[in-house]
Amino acid sequence: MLKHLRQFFVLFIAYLMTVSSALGQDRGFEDVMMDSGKLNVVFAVVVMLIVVMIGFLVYLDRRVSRMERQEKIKK
Amino acid sequence: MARNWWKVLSALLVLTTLVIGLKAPLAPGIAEVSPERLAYGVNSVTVTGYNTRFAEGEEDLQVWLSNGTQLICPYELSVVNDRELRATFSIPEKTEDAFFDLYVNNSKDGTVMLESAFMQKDLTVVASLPENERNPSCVRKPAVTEAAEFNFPNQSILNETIRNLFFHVPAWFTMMLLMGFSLAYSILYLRRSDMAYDAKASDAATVGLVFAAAGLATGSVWARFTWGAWWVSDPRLNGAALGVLVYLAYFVLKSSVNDSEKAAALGAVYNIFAFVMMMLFIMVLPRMTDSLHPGVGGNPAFSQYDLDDNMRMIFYPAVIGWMGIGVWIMQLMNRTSALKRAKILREYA
Amino acid sequence: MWVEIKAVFLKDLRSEWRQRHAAGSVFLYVLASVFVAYLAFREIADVPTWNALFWIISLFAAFNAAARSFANENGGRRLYLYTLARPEAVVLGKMMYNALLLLIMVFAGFAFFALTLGTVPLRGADPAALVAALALGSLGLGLILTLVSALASHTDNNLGLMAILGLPVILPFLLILMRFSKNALDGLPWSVNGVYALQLGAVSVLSLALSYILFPYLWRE
Repeated sequence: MLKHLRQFFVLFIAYLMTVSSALGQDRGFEDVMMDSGKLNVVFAVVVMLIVVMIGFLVYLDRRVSRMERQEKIKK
Repeated sequence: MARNWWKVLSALLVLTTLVIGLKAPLAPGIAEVSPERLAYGVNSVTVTGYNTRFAEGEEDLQVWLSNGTQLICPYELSVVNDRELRATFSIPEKTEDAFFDLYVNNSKDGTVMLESAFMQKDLTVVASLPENERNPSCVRKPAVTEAAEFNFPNQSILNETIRNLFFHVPAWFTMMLLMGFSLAYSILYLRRSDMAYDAKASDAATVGLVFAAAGLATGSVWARFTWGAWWVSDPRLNGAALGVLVYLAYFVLKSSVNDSEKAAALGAVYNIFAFVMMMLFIMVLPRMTDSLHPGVGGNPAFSQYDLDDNMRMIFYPAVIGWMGIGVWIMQLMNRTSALKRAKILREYA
Repeated sequence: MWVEIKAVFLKDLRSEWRQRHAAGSVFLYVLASVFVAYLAFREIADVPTWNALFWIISLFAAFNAAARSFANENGGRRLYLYTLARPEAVVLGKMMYNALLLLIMVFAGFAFFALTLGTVPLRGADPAALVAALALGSLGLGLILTLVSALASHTDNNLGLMAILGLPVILPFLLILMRFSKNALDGLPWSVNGVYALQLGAVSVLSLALSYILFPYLWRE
């Protein structure tokens, strides 16, 4: 599970780096993005990532809860 | 479910603030004017708006210049499209100020203003005009002064990046909260010598470091836009970097000792020592030097960004939401490490 | 308590005297660093550079000196010291000893530094403030690094870990110190500069208190 979390962190940081490198472009870039509607794609990707992150947390939470119940029975 | 309400709440807060924070438009503003200088006589200027609706609100459109006590209205005004209009002004020979502020008002955008939009060119600037040379006010009282829809302030330099406030600041706040947890668990470890507290302290620090990375990344992007560089030498920024170094050192220390109880004690002692020293640094150092960063050196945190009610409405829930997510991740890590310890104990027994 | 602190302090002093070459190595380190700086720069007339270089050399010398303070205390010796004194007394004695060692080293290093790299920056200096800067600086470096050294001594990679653990902790202190000493070199009045002296003193006292509280937990391991 820790391995999963680690992978997730790496993904998260990679995502931050892509976004920041894209934003580092010169001016005029934002006009292109807005006028062509490409900004909506960026928006969708960001929202999806956060949704996936929360979904992943929910999945982990349930799995850990299940393991905790089993642990209690074993005791 | 009853015990997990805060997780649901923080997930919802994060999602709603994310969507609104990224999607709500900026308030209408004036992006640029040309030419930028006004001379005596007739001047034709083009005004480019940002997020404005000049065409939609054309019927009650008003444009005026303000200079000292004077208001100057155009005698010719035409709207090209939603984002562009042309105005022709007749500028008098004497003015009270070297700069003219530009105002545009219509029922859709409310009042939009650009401070010091134009500079005078070869005009006579006097302290105050005599009564008989002042223009009578030509401006009708506007029916609408604010745009109807929900929006964020449109500030020069910041522009669209003002939204980063909802991500950058909560990341640091969450990091501080988690480091506070880490400190508390370290103190508890030293008092009770229970390995569970040591695991909790290092888990909290791990998650805190991830949020610090998020804070650094979002801050770096923001600095590139507003200050022009990915990193500027600034007490607040250097303090943040040092804080990250401290916690990296904490992990190096813990991993360099084989005996886990010894590692726990060393880590706890270093955690407390370093935390106090860092706090001292954060309190003392910014007063030594000037800082660009808001919230440092008598530079109040938000007034610069005009944290208006709309911003607050998104900012505070975002802080609570991200803090909740941070604590949730920390709790998950705590529980997994507790399970791991239980498993090891069972295998040895 | 005072008796115990004195005993630890004197014990360190005596054991240092018996291993003069070991203490000498720290002094040699300072001399060699200053000499390298001399060969590289010849003369530095610029006050901030002169000041910064001096404190950087002192910082690394302090790391070297502090790293040795617990290096000898392992196994049987530690046990012996444990019977001799309370842990609070041990750490306070060690801190005092380190502060004294650094005091001598910083003053000697300063003299040598001024001798080789030129006294141009000293012309407008306020002598009292400068002495205060050297004294407070060596005191603080010695006090703060003692606890870090105690932490690092429990690991295999003593000196390397010392730098990793110590630098982020000492950096705030060092920045205040450099500012204070630069102002002293520029001859700024006490009304401006006094606040930095106060901050340096406060950090030293705080690190003293923290070590007093935290060291007993380390000692048990």
